[in-house]
Amino acid sequence: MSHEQRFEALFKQHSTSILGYLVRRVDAAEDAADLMAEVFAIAWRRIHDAPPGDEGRLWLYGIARKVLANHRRGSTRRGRLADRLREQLRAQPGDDGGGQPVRAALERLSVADRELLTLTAWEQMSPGEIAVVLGLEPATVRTRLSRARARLRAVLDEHARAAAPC
Amino acid sequence: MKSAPGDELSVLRTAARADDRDLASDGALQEVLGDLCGDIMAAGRPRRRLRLPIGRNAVAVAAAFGMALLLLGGVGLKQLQSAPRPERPAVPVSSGPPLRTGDFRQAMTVGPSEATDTSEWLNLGSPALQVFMASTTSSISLPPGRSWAAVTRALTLPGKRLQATFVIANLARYGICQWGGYWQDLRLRGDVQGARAADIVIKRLVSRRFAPVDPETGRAIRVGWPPLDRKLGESWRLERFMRSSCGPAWRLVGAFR
Repeated sequence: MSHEQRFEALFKQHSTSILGYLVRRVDAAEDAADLMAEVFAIAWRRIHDAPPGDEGRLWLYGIARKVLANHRRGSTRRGRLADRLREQLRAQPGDDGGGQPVRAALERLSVADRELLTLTAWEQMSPGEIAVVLGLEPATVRTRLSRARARLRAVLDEHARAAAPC
Repeated sequence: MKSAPGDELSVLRTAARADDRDLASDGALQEVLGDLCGDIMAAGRPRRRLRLPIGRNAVAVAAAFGMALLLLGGVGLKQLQSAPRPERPAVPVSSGPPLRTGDFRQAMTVGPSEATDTSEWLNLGSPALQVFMASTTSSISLPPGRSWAAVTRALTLPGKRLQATFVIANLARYGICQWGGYWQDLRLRGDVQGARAADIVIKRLVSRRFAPVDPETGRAIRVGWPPLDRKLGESWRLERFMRSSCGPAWRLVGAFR
C-alpha cells in the first residue's frame, strides 16, 4: 500500500471520529476545523510512522491530543485549508445547554482526570486503548480511571445536593 | 441522593457536545472532509526519513554500547566480552511470513497460566523472529558458558503467534533463570562478591524497559512491561522464582494462538 493509499484509508476511516473528538473539547465547534487540518497535516507528514491496524486510529488520537494541547496554549494558527470546514462546523446545531452542569463538574477535575474520563465516556475507549494514546501502562490507566470516576461521582453528588430544594 | 457507581460515566456521556453518528450522517460535512483530505495531501509531502551520516551513527552506536555497559553492572561488564555472540538468523529475513501481524487484540479467552495484553501478535514462524530475538538479547550478557539457544529454539513455532510483550517476557525470564542459577552457584561456593554482582545484573534485568525493533522495517515494536516481579532482586523472591519457573519448571509464558 502506497503512502497516499495509507493516508486516504486512515482519513476515510477515522476523520469523523477525530473531528468528533476535537469538537467535543473546544469551546466553539468551528475552532475544531483548524485543529482537524493540523492533525491530518501532521499525520500526512509522518505517514511513514503510522502503525498498522487499529494502532493507526490510536496514533491519530495521540496526535489530536497534542494538537489540542497546543491549541489550549494558544498556539494554533488559522489556516486556509480549514476555511470550508470552519464554515460547515459553524452551521452545526449548537449546544442546547443540557450538558452544561455536567461539563461544569468536569471542569472541576484535573486535566488528567478529564482526559481519562472523556476518552472513556465520549470516545468509548478501553483502558488498553487509552494506555496506547497516553503512553501509559494499561494497569496504570485502570487505577487512575477508577480514582477519576470516584472524584467525578463526588463532584456530581455535590452539584446534585446544591441544586436540590431544602 | 448519592449516585450509584457507574452512573457518572452515563451522565458524562449525555454531556458530549457532538455525536460521531450525527457528524457521519451529515452529507455536506462529509463532502468537505473528503476535500480536506485531498487538500492536505496536495499542500505538502510526507517527511523523508533522515539517515544519519556515518560519523554520527558511530557516535550513536558508541553511546548505546556505553549505556548497555552501565546498565548491565559489574558482572555484566565482565561477561560482555566473553559472552557468546547472539545467534545469527537461520534463514534470510525476506523469506517466510512477516514478523508483524498488525493484530493488537487482547485474546478473549485465555487458558490456565496464560496472559495477554494489547501488544501486537507476532508470527513465531517468521524468519525475522530470529533476528528480532538476537537483537533483543544482544545487549544482555549471560553467565559464562550459557547461551540463548534454548529459549530462541523454544519460541520458534511455525504457524503460532504470541504477543510481543510475551516474546520479550520469555527472553527476560530465561535470562533471569540463567543468572539466578549462576547466583546460586556463586553463593554455594561462598563467592559473596560474585553473587552480589550477579544480583545487580538480575535487578537490572527485571526493571529493564525493552524497546525492540522490527528487523524488517526498522520501526519500533511497542511492548508492555514483561510480567515479572520487579522485586526479584530480593533473595527469597529470587529463590521462589527459581523454584517455580526455572530448571525443570521452566516453561514459556503467554497465550500462544
